[in-house]
Amino acid sequence: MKKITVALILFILLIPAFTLSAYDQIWGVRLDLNLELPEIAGSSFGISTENAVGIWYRGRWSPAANMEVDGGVAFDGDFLFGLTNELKFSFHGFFYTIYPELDKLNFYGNTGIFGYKAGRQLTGDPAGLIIDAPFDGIDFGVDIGKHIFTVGAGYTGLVFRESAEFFMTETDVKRDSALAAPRIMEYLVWDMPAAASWLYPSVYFLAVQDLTSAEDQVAYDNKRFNSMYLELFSRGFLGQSFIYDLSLVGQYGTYDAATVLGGIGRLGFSWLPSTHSRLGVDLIRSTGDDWGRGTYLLGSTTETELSQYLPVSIVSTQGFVVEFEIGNLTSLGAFYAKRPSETFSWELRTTTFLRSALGPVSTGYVDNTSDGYFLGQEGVMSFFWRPKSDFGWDFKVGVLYPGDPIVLDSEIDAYFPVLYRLGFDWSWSF
Amino acid sequence: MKKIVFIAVLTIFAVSLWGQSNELLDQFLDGEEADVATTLLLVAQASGNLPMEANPDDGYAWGLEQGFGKHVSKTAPEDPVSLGLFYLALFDSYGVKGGLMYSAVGSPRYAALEAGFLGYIEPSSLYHTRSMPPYEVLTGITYVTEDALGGEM
Repeated sequence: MKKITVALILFILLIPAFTLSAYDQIWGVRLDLNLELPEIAGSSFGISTENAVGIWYRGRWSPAANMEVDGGVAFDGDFLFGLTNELKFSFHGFFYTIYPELDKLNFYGNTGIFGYKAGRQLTGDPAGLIIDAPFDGIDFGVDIGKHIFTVGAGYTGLVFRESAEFFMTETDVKRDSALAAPRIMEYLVWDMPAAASWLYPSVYFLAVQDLTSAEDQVAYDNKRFNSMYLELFSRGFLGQSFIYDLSLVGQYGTYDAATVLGGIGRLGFSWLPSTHSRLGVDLIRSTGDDWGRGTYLLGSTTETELSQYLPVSIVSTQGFVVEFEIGNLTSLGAFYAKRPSETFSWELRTTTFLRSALGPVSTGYVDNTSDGYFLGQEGVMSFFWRPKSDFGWDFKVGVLYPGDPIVLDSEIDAYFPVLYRLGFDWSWSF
Repeated sequence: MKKIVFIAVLTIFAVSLWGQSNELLDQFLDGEEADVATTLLLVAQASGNLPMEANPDDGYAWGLEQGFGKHVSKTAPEDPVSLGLFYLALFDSYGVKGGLMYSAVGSPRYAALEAGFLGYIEPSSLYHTRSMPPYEVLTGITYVTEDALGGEM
């Protein structure tokens, strides 16, 4: 492994020496800070923070030969407090994790109708419902008139686990490694950007083979999960003032003796009454399982037919007060967004959350004794201010009226008749 | 085809706007890469800092006297102008304040990043060290002169 890394670094460093063409470059730094409260964990509550600092670099010898690097360090932490029986605050400690991030380290370029990218790169499906994560691989594209075809393949086992978030099985979460679970992926994409103003269709196919070792399968009582996804996605304008997006994803997989057949659909519809405002609704519905499944991620199960939709990486999570991953979820949201000035905008959103089946959802607030589909009704007010091109901050305040499945620890339940959350994000890039 | 029409319109617009001689602009546009002296001349004339009868040497001398002069001094008049130096001169001339780091440091890299943020440059060609085709210089000047944000950020 070390030899491969050294060879790759030498290759990158030596390329300028072998080229006679000009070399152009640019780089930058970004700093993202976040603070949210209250964070509820069992009988404790507190303040959470997620921060990252990174550097990016791009170099170019010619349109056919470019390179890019994007990496940094992330720091996540929780200050946790509790209440004693005498209603006195107690400090339970500061718990944190520090982990590296390396999203890009690749060569890319295009010549004529062909394009390529090789190395560490970000990959994602057009609708953002299957995967949004880095991987190591190669991506080829060909642009034929109105059609763009892309094919790619890669490996996930060398990316950093915490930043990539390839979480499909319990092993992926529990395994004692800084690297993500080993999987091979292959994908095909067809895009037709100029089909019509009301129709920009994409078709995406992804196959994933799980290479989790036999030792890890035994150690964590898990099996390999091999899966395939087919996504149909379209977006466009309807008239001059309406936009829509429609996504349908089917998932087929095998896990031990079980066959997994799931899916998700999303419909978004917005009205643009002016260039500075937007009123819209969005609907997401994915398939789920009952509690016979066991856990949200695939774990130990005796079922032979599973239905819960499970993306390859954590993607398009819903909700602010409580964050729901998109398996076994139905959400119906409405929002109004306005941008009064070039530097300031705000959004008011309300969302109804339900689970699609009476089984596990991604949040720990729902346990296997819970009943009912209604997870909660959320209202969120967001403010976005970007006074300078390289500096900005967001402030969010949200309230969730919880449904019956949301169960808090009995020690703090009385203090949270509704759940609320404040969030503050600050970013600086230079 | 659209690109050619766009360049032609820009050229006509530039000539009428700055009153620069057709001969100098023809010579400038015939080159593959914009040179430092003529580029600075066009920037200075467009922003009203040099008279219309000035020549490229005047443009280079003007650039040396500005706050960004130390970056000009690292180049020769006939060198290809870099994307970063061009936007640094252009934003400085028009008083575009930009982001925190651009305002504090004002280097060619920050100027290029600022131009990228304003949408003047495609992300795929955002390299502050790269040379510029002459029409891109005219396009950049047009962006800033036409942009309501110019000088008011």
